[in-house]
Order: sequence, then C-alpha cells, then structure tokens
Amino acid sequence: MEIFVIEKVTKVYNPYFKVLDEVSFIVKEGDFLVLTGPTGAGKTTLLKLLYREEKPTDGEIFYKNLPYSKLKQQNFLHLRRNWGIIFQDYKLIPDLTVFENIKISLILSQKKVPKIKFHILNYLERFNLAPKAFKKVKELSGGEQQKVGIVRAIIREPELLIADEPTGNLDPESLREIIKIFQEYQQTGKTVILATHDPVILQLNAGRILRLEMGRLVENVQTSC
Amino acid sequence: MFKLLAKLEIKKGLLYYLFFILFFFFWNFFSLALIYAYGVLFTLEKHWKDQITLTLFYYPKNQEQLNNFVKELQNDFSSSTEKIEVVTPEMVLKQAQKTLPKEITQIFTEEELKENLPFLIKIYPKSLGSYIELTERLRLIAALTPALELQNPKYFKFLKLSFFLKSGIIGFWFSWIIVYLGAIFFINTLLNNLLYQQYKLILLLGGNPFYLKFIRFSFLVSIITLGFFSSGATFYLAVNSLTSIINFPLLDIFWVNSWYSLVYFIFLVVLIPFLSVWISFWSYEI
Repeated sequence: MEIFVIEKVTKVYNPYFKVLDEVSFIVKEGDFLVLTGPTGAGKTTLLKLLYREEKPTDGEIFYKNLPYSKLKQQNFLHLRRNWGIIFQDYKLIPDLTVFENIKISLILSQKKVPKIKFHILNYLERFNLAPKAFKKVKELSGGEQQKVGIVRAIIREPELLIADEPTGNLDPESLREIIKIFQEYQQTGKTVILATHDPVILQLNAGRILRLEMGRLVENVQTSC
Repeated sequence: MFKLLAKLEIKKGLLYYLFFILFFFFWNFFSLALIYAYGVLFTLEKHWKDQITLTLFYYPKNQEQLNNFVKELQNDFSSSTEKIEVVTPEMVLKQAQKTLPKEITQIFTEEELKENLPFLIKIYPKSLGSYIELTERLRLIAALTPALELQNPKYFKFLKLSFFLKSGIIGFWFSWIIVYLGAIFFINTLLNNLLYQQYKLILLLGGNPFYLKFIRFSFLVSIITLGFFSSGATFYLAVNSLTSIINFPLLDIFWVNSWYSLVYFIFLVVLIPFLSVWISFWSYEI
C-alpha cells in the first residue's frame, strides 16, 4: 500500500527562493527511505511538508490516498498521533525533564500504556539514558538530547517514523545502534523516512535512497536492506 | 497532560501573570470607583427628578391668549414633557393667603390681588435630559416675551453638572475597558510568543490546540478572579471607612446585590478572557 504519493511538489519561500522543484516520488508501507543530498538541497523542507509543518507552494501530497489540500487541521492532529517525528533541532522542552518530555509525547499519541513510568524508563535504559531520566533536558549534552528526541518518537510505536538528521551529534557506535533500531523497526512492517547527509548511513545500505540536489530529485536507488 | 502543560505555562508566564494580577487589581478598583460615582449621581438624580418642575409666570391679556399659549407649549414640547398644568391666580392666592402679611390684605382687596397675580404654568419634564433642554428653550422664550417669566429652576446647575458627569463617566468607562482589552490581548500575545516553540511541538506531536486554549483560559480566569475579589474587597473597605467618616450610607447606593454585579463579573472575568484567548490562538494552525 502507498503511504505517501508526492506529486510535483514545489516549495518557494519569499522572496523568490525555490527550495523544492517539482519533486515526485512514492513511499510504500514498510519502506526504509533515505533522503540524502548536500546541505540546502531541500531535505528538511521536504520532511516538513510531509508532516505538514509547511504547506507546498504547488503540487499535491497524498497520505494513504488522502490529498493534504483537502484535509483540515483536525485531521492532521489525528494523523500525527500515529507518527513519530525526530526533528533536526530536537525540539525538546528545556524546562521539562527527560521523563516529562517523553511522557508528554506518549500521552499526546493517546496510546494506552499500562505502567507508563516503567515503560518510559525501559526505553531510556535501551539508550543508556535511564540515570538521566529526571534531569532537565537543558542539562544534557547534544548527543544525549538527540537520543531523547529519538526515544520520544519511537516510544509511541508509530506506523510512520520521520527522522531529520537523527544522528548528527552521535558517535559512530551510537549511530550504528540507532540505525539498527530503525531497521528493526522497519522489519516489523512500519515505514521509516530518514533524511541525512551522513556518508556512514549511506554506506550501511539501509534502504531506498533518494538524492536531492538544489531542490530537485536526481537519484532514486533501491539498495539491499 | 494538563498538569505538564500547566507546568510549562506557569514556568514561562509566572512573572507576567503576577504583573497582570497587579494591573487588574488597580484597573478593577478604578473601574468600581467609576461605577460607584455613576451610581451616586444616578441615585441623587432619581431623588430629585420627582421634584423638578419648571414654572412659568404668565400675565396674559385674556383667557384666549392663555389657552393659545398653553396649546403652543403642548405642541412644541410634547416629546419632552410629561404634563403641563395651569394654576390660576385664584388658586395662587388661596395658597398664598396663609403666608401673606396682614398689611397687604388690608391695603389691597382680593380682586386687586388677583389682577396682579400671574397664571402659573407648571411643566413636568420627562427626564433629566428634557429638563435641561426645556430650561434652555424656555429661558429664551421668556427673554423674548414680556408677559412671561421663568422661575429660577431648582438644582439646575447641580443637575446639569450631574448629567454631563454621568455621560462623561460612561464615556470614560468605555475607554477604560479598552485599556483592559489591550492589556489582556497583550499578555496573550506575549505568552503565545514566549511559548511558541513549545506550542508548536505539542501540535506536531498530535496535541489539540484546545488543550492550550483551555490551560490559558483557566489561568486567566483564576488570576482575574483573584484580582477581582481582592480589589472588590479593598474598594468595599475603602467605601465603608468613608461611610463611617462622613456618616452617610454610601454603600446603600452601590449595586452590590443586584444582577448588574453578575453581568459585570461575567463580562470581565469570563467573556473577555474567553474571546481574547480564542482570538490570540487564531493563527495557531500547524
């Protein structure tokens, strides 16, 4: 089943600055899609269009055959509850603790989790963050914050995981660990869309690679996963 | 959920909420003072309104001239008068006889006295506004008619001043409301800007904007209620102290127990915060 159909999507920021130029591709259920390209190629903008932080200037995005242009804000709120989003700038709430940052995400997903505290601490343990669970996010290092952002997204067990440069601040060992988690996640039938310009991830042949350059799609390669 | 959102709101906005309580305390105190002043004037006017009449002394050449003049008054001032009464010289004399000095009754006969007494035309205005308007117009007519004289209107200066003061208070109070509206929209916009990143994240995680509106509204209503009752109590104590100093039941005039208080409370504490929160979140669509 097609999760996303992106049809000739163009994004222009004012003053005239075309970030994406008639980009078209399809994301199928269970895909592991790696969006790559140099800085400024339009990867983050494309992801923002997918999770509707931004609207396209032209073109259409379909999610499970539903056109975005016909959906209302309320519909997106429902869709986002089933998505896990990892942001490039982490988007953590600095005044809350690690535990609270993750809890808020879990509650907003409206998933019924018994023993929520145990559940969260269990996930944090996997990322070696359990000892810092009740520390404020602003007291953590960049790499730790990035891991909190990842836990916050995957703890919801979303049907779609969108990750924007999720490994930028991680050491090579953590990076491999994260990619492994993503791959295991995809093997359960979930869809992963990951934007990166990290050559290490590309060498891992994690999934289908889409290369963007100057806002245009220049390569669409299926690698062995 | 709400606990975490409330924690965020209070962490970022505590200082601004405290400032707002302080602002509302003084705003409401002054607002109550204005309403109180209006109430005092309203009560005094009500008290005097029943007593205000305009009296014309008229010396007609004959009965026909009197009838025509009264008819003319009735036609010209029908919209501003309740009724017009004519008191004949006989009745005037009858009323005045008890107080007239004996020397006068000895010198003049009853007929002579009647001939020199005027007809009294008593005009009852419909309202205080009509009273002021009628006085101005009748003064002009009396100045142009030698047979006519207008008795100096009772409390005219006070009532005229009160009338304009009341209008002034209403005008000023509406300007004062704009200050409150401005402040409440300012604090909402300020907090929205401060919490923008957090709010955006909540929406991107699938949160409903209703949660954010509800939290803001609850905080605003709580602090405004606190400010409302504390300034109300301070105002009550101030007026109560003044009452004992000047020995006049000032608080009897205030509409504490009437439904006006309820309307005032709902308008300030519920309706305006509700609208300001909803409008300030208008553009929160992600």
